[in-house]
Amino acid sequence: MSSKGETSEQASDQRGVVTLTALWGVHARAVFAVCLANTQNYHDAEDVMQSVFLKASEKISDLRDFDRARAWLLQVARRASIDHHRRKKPAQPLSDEPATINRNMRFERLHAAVQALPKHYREVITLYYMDDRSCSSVASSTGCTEHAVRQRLVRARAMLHDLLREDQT
Amino acid sequence: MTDAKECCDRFQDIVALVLEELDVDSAKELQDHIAVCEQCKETLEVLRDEERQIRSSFEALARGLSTTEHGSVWTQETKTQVSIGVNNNHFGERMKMMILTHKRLSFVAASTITAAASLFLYIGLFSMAGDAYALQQTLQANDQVRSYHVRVTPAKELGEAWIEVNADGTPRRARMSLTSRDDGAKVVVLTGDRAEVWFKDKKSHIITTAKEALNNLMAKRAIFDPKFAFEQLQAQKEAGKVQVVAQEATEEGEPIRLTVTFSDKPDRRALYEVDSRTKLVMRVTEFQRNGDQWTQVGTRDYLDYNKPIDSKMFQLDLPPDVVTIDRINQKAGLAKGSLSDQEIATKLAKEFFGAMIAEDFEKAGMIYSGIPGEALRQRFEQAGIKILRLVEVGTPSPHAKTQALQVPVRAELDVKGEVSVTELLPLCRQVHGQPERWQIIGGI
Repeated sequence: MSSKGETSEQASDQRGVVTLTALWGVHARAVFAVCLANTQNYHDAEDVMQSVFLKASEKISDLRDFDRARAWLLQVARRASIDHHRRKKPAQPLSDEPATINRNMRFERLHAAVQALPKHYREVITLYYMDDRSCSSVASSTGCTEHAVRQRLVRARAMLHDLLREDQT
Repeated sequence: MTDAKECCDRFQDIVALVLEELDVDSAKELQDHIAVCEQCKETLEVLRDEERQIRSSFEALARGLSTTEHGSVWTQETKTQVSIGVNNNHFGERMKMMILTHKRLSFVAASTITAAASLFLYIGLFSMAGDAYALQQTLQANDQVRSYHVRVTPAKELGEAWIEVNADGTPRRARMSLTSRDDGAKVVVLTGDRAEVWFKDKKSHIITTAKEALNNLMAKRAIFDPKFAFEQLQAQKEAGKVQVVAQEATEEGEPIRLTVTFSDKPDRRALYEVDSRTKLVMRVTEFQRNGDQWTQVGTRDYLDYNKPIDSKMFQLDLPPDVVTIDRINQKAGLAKGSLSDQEIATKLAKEFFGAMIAEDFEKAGMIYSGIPGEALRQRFEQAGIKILRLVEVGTPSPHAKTQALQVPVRAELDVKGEVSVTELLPLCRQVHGQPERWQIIGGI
C-alpha cells in the first residue's frame, strides 16, 4: 500500500534509465526537506534544491542505480547547503533573514520553531513531515537506524511542542 | 487517578502515540491509562490538534514540489527528459527556471522549454479558473483510498477503527473498537475469511466467519466508512434532503469546509472538513441546536489515508482468562431437524438444565453458545451457583430486541448455600454460520 513503492517503480523509464522527472517525483520532498533543515530559509532551500537537481541532470547518465540516487541527492543537498551558507554575506544572518514569501502566520511560527531545534533533530523532523511521515524512509535518508530515527523524532516533536507553546505565551 | 510524576513521564509516550510511532502493546497500555487520566487526555488532545496543524503546514509546503505526468519536453542537448506539470505551476516554474539558468543548455533548448512552459502554465492558470470544489472530487478521491483510520468522539457505538478496503470499498482487514449496551466493550478483528470478536466485559472471544461479521459491521458503515458517508451525502443533496455550502480554503493548508444543513432536521448541522489537496474528508463535526446555541455533539476524524497499517493491529492479544468459542470449527447448540422454532427452543432449555443438573458441562456448554465445558463449570463455580432441579418450562415467545425466542423457566438453584426457586428466561436462536442448529445465547 505504500505510495513510495509505486513511485519507485516509476523511477526509471521502460529501458531502466533513471530520468530527472522520476528523481524529482520521488525525491523532491526529501531533498527540499534536507535543504530547508540545513539552510533554515525557504528561499535558500529552493535555490539549493535547484542546484542539486541541476547537478543531478548533469550526472543523470551515471545514476544507474535508482536506490542509491536518494542517498546521493541528499548528500549533494547537504554539501550544497553548506556551500550556500559559506557564500552568504556575513551581514545577513541566516535565521534573521526576513521572509518575503507570502505564507500564513501559522507556517511562519512553525518554521521558526523548527529552526530553533538542534540540527540533527531539525533534519529528522523536516524529512519526516515532508516525506510521507515514515521513519523507515527517514532512516534510509539519514543513514541512521529506524530506532534512532524514532527516538530523535519523538524528542524533536516534544521540543517542538514546547517551542510552539512558548511562542504562544 | 494517577500522580503527576507518572503522567509527566508519559509525555514522550503520548507524543509517540500522536505520531503513531508507539508499538501496539504500549499504545494499548497508554490508551487505557489515558481513558482514566484527565491530565493525559488533555495533553493528548492538545498534541493531536497541534499535530494536525503541523501536518497541514508541511503538506502545504510540500504541495508545490509534487509532479504531474502531463506535458513533456525532450531536450536533445542534455538527453534529459523534463516534465512540466499542467496543474502545478510551482513545479513548472521552478524546473523552467532551473533549466533556463543552466549555462550548458543551448539557446534553442531554452526557447523551446520557455514556449512549452508558458503554454502549460497558461493552460494551468486557465484550468484553475474553473477549479471550484465539487463533491464529485471527493467521491473520485475516495475511489483511490485503500486504508484509513477513523476515530469517533465521543465513542458511542464505534470508538476507533483501522481499515483496509478492497477496490469495491468493502473491508479487507479491519480492527474496530466498539461498545454496545448488550455486549459492553468489544473489539472486532476481520482478516480474510474469518472474524474474531473479543467481548472485553464478558471475557469471551468468538471466532466466526467474516461474512457474519461483515453483515453486522456494514450496518454501521455510515459511521466508519468515509466513502459510504460521502456517497450518502451526495445522494441526500441530489434528493434535496440536505443543503451543502462549500467554503474554499483561504490559506495554504486550510481545509475546504462544507456546511451541511438538513431539511427535515433544522436543529442539526454537520461540518465536513476536506483536505484541499487530496480532496479527502479529514473530519466531520456534528452540531445540535439547543435554543439559540449550537453545540458540538460529536466528531469523526479520518486519519492516515493509504498509510500502511501494522499487521499487529489485526491480531488480538487476549488475556488468559478469556474463553474462546470457535464457531467455524466447532459445532454449537443442537440440530433443529424437523422441529419448529418453539419446539427446538423448549428442547434447548430442557436439555441445558438437564445437563447442568447432571454436571455434564461439556453438553451444557455446547448448548450455551458453544462455551467450553470447563469454562462453563468455572463460571458457575465462581458465582457459587448450582442448578438443582428444573421445576417448569413455559411456552417460548419472541424477544423484541434480539429476535430470539425467550423460554420462561423456573428452576431450583443453590446460590452460595441458599436454595430457592428462580425464574429464568434463556434466549434461543439459530447459530450464526450453522443454520441447521439452534443454541442458547443468553438469559441465564
